[in-house]
Amino acid sequence: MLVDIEIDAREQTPSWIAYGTPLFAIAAALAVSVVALVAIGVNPIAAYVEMFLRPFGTVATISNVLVRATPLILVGLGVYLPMKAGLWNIGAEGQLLAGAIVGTWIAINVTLPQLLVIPVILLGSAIAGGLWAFIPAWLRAKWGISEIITTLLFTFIAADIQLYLVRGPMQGGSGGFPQTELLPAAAEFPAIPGTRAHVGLLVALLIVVLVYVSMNRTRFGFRVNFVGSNADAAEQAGMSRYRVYLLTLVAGGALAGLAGISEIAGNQSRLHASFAPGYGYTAVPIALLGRNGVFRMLLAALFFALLFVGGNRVTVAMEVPSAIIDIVQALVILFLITAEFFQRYRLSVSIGRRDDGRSIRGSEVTTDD
Amino acid sequence: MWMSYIQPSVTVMTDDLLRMESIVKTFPGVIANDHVDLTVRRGEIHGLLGENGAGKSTLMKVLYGLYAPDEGTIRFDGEPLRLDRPQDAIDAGIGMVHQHFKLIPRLSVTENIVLGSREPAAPFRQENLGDGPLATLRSSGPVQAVASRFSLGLDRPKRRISDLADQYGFDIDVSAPVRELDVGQRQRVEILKALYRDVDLLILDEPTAVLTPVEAERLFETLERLVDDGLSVILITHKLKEVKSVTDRVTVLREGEDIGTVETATVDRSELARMMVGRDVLFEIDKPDTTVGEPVLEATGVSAIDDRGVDKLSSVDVRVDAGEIVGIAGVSGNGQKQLAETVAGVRDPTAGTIEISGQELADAPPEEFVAQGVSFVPEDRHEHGCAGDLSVMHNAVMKDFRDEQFGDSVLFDYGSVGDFASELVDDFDVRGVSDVTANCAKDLSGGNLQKLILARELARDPELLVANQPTRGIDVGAIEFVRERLLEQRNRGTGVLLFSEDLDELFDLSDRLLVIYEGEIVLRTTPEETTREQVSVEMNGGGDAQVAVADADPADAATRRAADGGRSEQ
Amino acid sequence: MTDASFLIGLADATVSASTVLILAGLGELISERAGILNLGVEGMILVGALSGVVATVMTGSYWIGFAVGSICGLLTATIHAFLCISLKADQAISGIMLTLLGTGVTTYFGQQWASAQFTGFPDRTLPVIGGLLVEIPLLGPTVFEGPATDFIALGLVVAVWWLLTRTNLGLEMISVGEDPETADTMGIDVFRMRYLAVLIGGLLAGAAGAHLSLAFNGIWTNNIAAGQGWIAVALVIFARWRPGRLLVGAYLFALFNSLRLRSQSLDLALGPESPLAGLLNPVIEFLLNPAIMSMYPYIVTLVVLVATIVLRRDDDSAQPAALVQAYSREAD
Repeated sequence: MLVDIEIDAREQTPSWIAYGTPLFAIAAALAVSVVALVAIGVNPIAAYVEMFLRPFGTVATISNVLVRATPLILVGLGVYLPMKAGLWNIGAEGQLLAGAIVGTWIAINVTLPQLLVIPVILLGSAIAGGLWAFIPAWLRAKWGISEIITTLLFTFIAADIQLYLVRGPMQGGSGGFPQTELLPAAAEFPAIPGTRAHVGLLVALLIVVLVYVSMNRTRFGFRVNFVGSNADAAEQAGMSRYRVYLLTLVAGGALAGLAGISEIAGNQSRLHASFAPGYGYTAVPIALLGRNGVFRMLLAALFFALLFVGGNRVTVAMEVPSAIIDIVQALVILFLITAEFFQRYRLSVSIGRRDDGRSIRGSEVTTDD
Repeated sequence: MWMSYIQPSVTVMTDDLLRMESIVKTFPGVIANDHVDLTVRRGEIHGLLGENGAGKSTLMKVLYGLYAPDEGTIRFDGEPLRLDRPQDAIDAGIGMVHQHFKLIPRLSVTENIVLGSREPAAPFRQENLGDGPLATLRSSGPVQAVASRFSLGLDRPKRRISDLADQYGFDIDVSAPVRELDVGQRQRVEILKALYRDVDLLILDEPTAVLTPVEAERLFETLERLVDDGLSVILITHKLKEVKSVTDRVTVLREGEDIGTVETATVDRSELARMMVGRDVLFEIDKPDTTVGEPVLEATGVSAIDDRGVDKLSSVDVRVDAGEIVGIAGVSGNGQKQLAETVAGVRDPTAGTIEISGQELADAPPEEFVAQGVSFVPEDRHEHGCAGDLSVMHNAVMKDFRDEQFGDSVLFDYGSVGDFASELVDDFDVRGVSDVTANCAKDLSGGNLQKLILARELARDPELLVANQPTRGIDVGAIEFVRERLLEQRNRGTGVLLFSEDLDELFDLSDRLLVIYEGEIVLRTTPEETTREQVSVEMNGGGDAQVAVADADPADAATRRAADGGRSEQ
Repeated sequence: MTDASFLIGLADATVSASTVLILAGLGELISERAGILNLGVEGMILVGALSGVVATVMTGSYWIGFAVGSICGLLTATIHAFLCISLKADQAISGIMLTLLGTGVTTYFGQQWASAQFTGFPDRTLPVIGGLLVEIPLLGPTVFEGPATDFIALGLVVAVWWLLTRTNLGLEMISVGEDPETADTMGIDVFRMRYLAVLIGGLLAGAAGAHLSLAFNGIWTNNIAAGQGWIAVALVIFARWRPGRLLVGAYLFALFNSLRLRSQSLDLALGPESPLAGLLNPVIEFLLNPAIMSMYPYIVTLVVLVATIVLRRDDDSAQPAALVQAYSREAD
C-alpha cells in the first residue's frame, strides 16, 4: 500500500479560499500563540478577550486603536503602493524615520500659524520619506538592483542618523535623554473632538481614498497594475517601467514619511530614540494581508493596531511580555504564505496502489522476438 | 505522391539500436505524435525533419524521459526501455544536447561535465586503493560515502575529457570556466558531457540554430567521427541542407504524423521539402485583390542585436504598403524576432531608419509607435503579449487604455472598458471567458489567448500590424480564424508584416514574400512567382545548383537575380 | 592616542567581535550560494543565543549549550527552508518574518533568563602549539588567545572554502544556486541540496548566537544580536559570496564596531596650528561619532553592491545566478 501525495497547480482558485486565506492565517497564528501564553501560565481565553475585545469597550479605548492605526495605515500604504508595481519596499521603516526627523525639525524650527505650519510639516516629511526611497528606486529602475536589500540598508543608515541626531544636534528637553524637545503647540496635530485620535487619521483615510481612486479609477493605476503583473508586456504596450518603479517607490517612501511625522506630531509630541516600534516592518504584513485591495489593507492596518493596543493591555493587566505582539505578527504572515501555497496548488492524498499512467505499455511486455 | 516514400519499418534486428514504435502523445486538444515510428541503426546519423510544431521535440522528449507517451513501445539495444525521468535515459546510454545549453557559466568545463557524478579524490578511487589495512578502510562503505561527498577528484576526469577532446579535435581548455567559451565551444562541451557518460545514442536538438556556418561545418565533421566510432546520432532539424549533407537516413514528421523514413541519398532537397511541407493546402482562403496604398512602414538599413549583444540583423530594408500583407519566411533564429521587435518599436535598432506612415521613429519609445497606429502580435504570448495575472478586461485594453473613449484625462472608466472587452470577446469568439473582469488571461487556452491579443491589436484599426508567428502552437480552428482576420484587416487597408515558419500560411496570405537568412533579406518575391521549394531552399541559405536547376523557371531566375543584385525594394 | 596599548586593545576587540559575523556570515553565504536568501539570520542568532544559555544553565556545560544553540538555529532555519523551497514562498518575506518571530520569541521567553548566571567559554589558547603562538608579540594574544568558538569560526572559514571549492557536495550546492534546472538534468536533487544549505546556514547562525551569549557577552540580554544578523547579510554581499573575502570583511566590519566603541579615545582632530583645522575638525568629529560610525558597514556594502553591478564586473565572485528563484520541475 502506498500513500501518495500529489500536488497540482490549480487552474482557478475557488473564491472561498481566496477570501478566507487572511482569516485562516490570523486564526492559525492566534491558535499557535496559545502555546506561548500557556507556557507562562496565562489563560489564553482571558488574554485574547483582553487583547481583542476589551479595546472596544469605550470611546477612549477605541480611539487608542485609531491612534495606533494612523501611522500603520500610512506606512502600510507605503508598502502597498510599490507592491502593486511588483516592488518590495522592505525598508519603509527608514523612510518613516526620515519623515519623522525632517518633520520634527521643521516643527521645532519653523514658526508659523498652525494652519500653515502643519501643511509645511506634512509636505516636508513626505519629501524626506520620498527622497529616502529615491536612491533605491532609481537603482532598481535603472540598474535592476534589488530594492529589498537597498531599502533595508537605507533603513539601517536612517536608524543610525536618527540616533546621532537625538543624541547630538537635535537633542533637547531636560535630563539629557536621547530625544528632541517637545514640539511647539502650533505644530501638534489637533485632536478629533471627543477622542484622542488626531487629524493624521483623517489625512490617512483621505490618502486611502486617493490611492483607491488612483489605483482603480485612473490610467496611472492601470499602468502600475500592468507593470506589476508583467513588466515586459507593459513595456511592449508603451508603458514605462522606469517611470512606474520610480513613482511608486518614491510615493511609497513619501507615505511612510507621513506615517513618521503623524506619530510624532499626532501622538508622542517629540522625537524619541525608539519612538517607532518597527511600524515600518509591520507595514509589510499589513500590505501582504491587504494586497487584494486598499480597503482590505485598511482593515489589516486596523487589525494590527488592535494587536498593538491589545498587546499592551495584556502586558499591563496580565504581565504577558509585549513581545507577544511580534510573535502573533510573524505567525500571521508565516501562515499566510503557507496558505498561499494552497491557493495556488491542490494537494490530493490518495491511499492505495498508484496508477499514474506513466508506464509505457510496451515496457511491461517481455521480449518475444 | 510523397506517400511513396514510406518504407516498411521492418529492418534487420541486429542493426537497430533504437526502435520507437507507434508512439502516440496527445496534449489537450492536440495530437503531438500520432503513431510515429522511429528506428535508428547503429553508427548512423539519423535526421528527424519537420517544421515547427511537427512533433519532433515531443518525440525526443519522450525518448529522453521528459514526457510519458500515451501509447507505443521503445526498445533500446533490443531491450524494452522504461523511462520515467532523464536519468533513466542517461543510464540507458542516451545523451541529449539541448537547444538551450544546460551549462553553468561560472563552473569550469570539467566541473560542468562531471557535475552529479560524484568523483571522489584520488586516494579514494578503486584503482588507487592497493592493499593493506588502510586500503580496506578506504574502500569501506562509509569512507567511500564520505569521500564521494566531501572530496572531489577532478584530475582523472580532466585527463579523460582532454583525451576525448583531442580525439575529436575540440580546441577546449578543460579548466576554463564555461562563461569564457563561445557558443560553438559550449556546444562541444555539451557533446563531451554525453561522451563522458559513454552514450550509445546522441540526440542533438536543432544544433546549428546558434552556430555560424563555419561552426556548423565543424559540428558535422565531429558527428561523422562519432558515428565512425560506433555511436548513433539523431539530428533534429528543419534545415534541408543539413539533412542532405550529413544524415544517412531521415524520418520526416508533419503535424504529428509520421510521413516516412528514407535513405537520404535517394532523395533530393526539393523532394524532402515536399515531404516536410506537404502539398495539400489546409485552408481555402479567398484573397480578393485590393489596391495598395501609401507605404505605412519604410525601414531602411535596419540593424539590430539580440539580448546578448550578438548582431542579428544587418542593414535590412523592408517596406509595407497600406492594404498588403508582406510575409517574411525564415528558419527560426535568423533575425525575425529582432526585425519584428524593431519595426514594432519594442527594440531600438543599432542603425537605420524606421518610418511609420512617413514619421521617422527609429529612436522613439514604444509609446510613440503605439500612438502612430502600430500593432504588434509578439512571438511569445505569455511573456510579451499579456499580463497573465490580470483580467481579460485589463489585457483587452493593454494598448488602447489611453483612448479617449475610456474616460477623460483624469479618470479611467472601467465600465466602458469592460463593455469594450466584452465586445472584443464576442467579436473574436474568445472562449472560456464568463466574466471579463474575473477571468485572468493566463487561464485562457493558447488559441483563445491569441484571439484576445489579436482582437486587442486589430480593434485599433492599425496602420501597420506586425504579427510574429501568430498561429504557432494554437489549435486548427483558431489558426483558421486568425488567418481570416489578418486578411480581413488587410482588405480594410492595414499594412501587415507577417512572420511565419509555416509556408502554407505565407503562400496563402502574402501579397509579397521576403525570405530572411542570417539577418539579411535574401529573396524578394511573390507567392505567384515562386514555389514553396524555392523558398524553403532560400530559407536554408541558398540552393545547391541541383535544386536551382530543377526548379528554375524564368520568374524564379529573375527574382533570384534581383535578390542577388541588391536589397533595393523593387 | 595611537599608542601601542590602544592598538592592541583595538585589535583584540576586533578579532573577538568578528567571530559572530564570521559564523553567521558563513551560514548566510552557504545558503545564498545554493540560491536561498536568508533574511532570518538575525532571528536565528537570537534563538541560538537564548537556547544556548538555557541549555548551559540547565546542564552546566557550555559545550552542550553551544550545541543546543546551534541546533535551535537549524530548527528555525527548517521553517525557512520549508516555506521557501517546498512551498516556494517569497524568500524575503519569510526571512524577515522569521527575524521578527525570533526576536519576539526570545524577548518573550528571555526575560526570566536575563539574570541567569552560568560559566561561559573561557579564554584559552590552541592545544599543543598554542603556548608558543601566544608568545608572538602583539599578534599572539590577540589572535591566538580567546574562547574556543573563535578558533572554531576560523576553522570553519577554511572548511566552508574547502566545501565549496574542493568537494562534490559544494559543486552540487553551487550548481543549484546557479541553475537548478541544469542541476536537475544532471541528476542532482535540487530540493535536498537547497534544504541542506539552508539548514547549515541556520546551524551556523545558531552557533553565532550561542557564541554571542556564551563566549562573547557571557550573559543573555534581550535583543543581544543588536543587528549583527543584518550586518552578516550585508557582509556576504560585501564579500561577493566568497569565504576568504568574508573573513576580511568580518574583520573590517568588526574594526568599525571596535573603533566606534573606542571613539572617545580616538583623537584625530587636527592641531590648532593647522590651517584646515577649523574646516576639517567638525567633519572629523562628525565622522567619528559613534552613531555615524555604526552605519559604515551598510554604506560600504551599498557601494560595493552598486559598483559591481554598475561596472558590470561579471567575475567569478558575482551573485549566484538563481538567488531568490524558487525551483519546481516543469510539469508536462
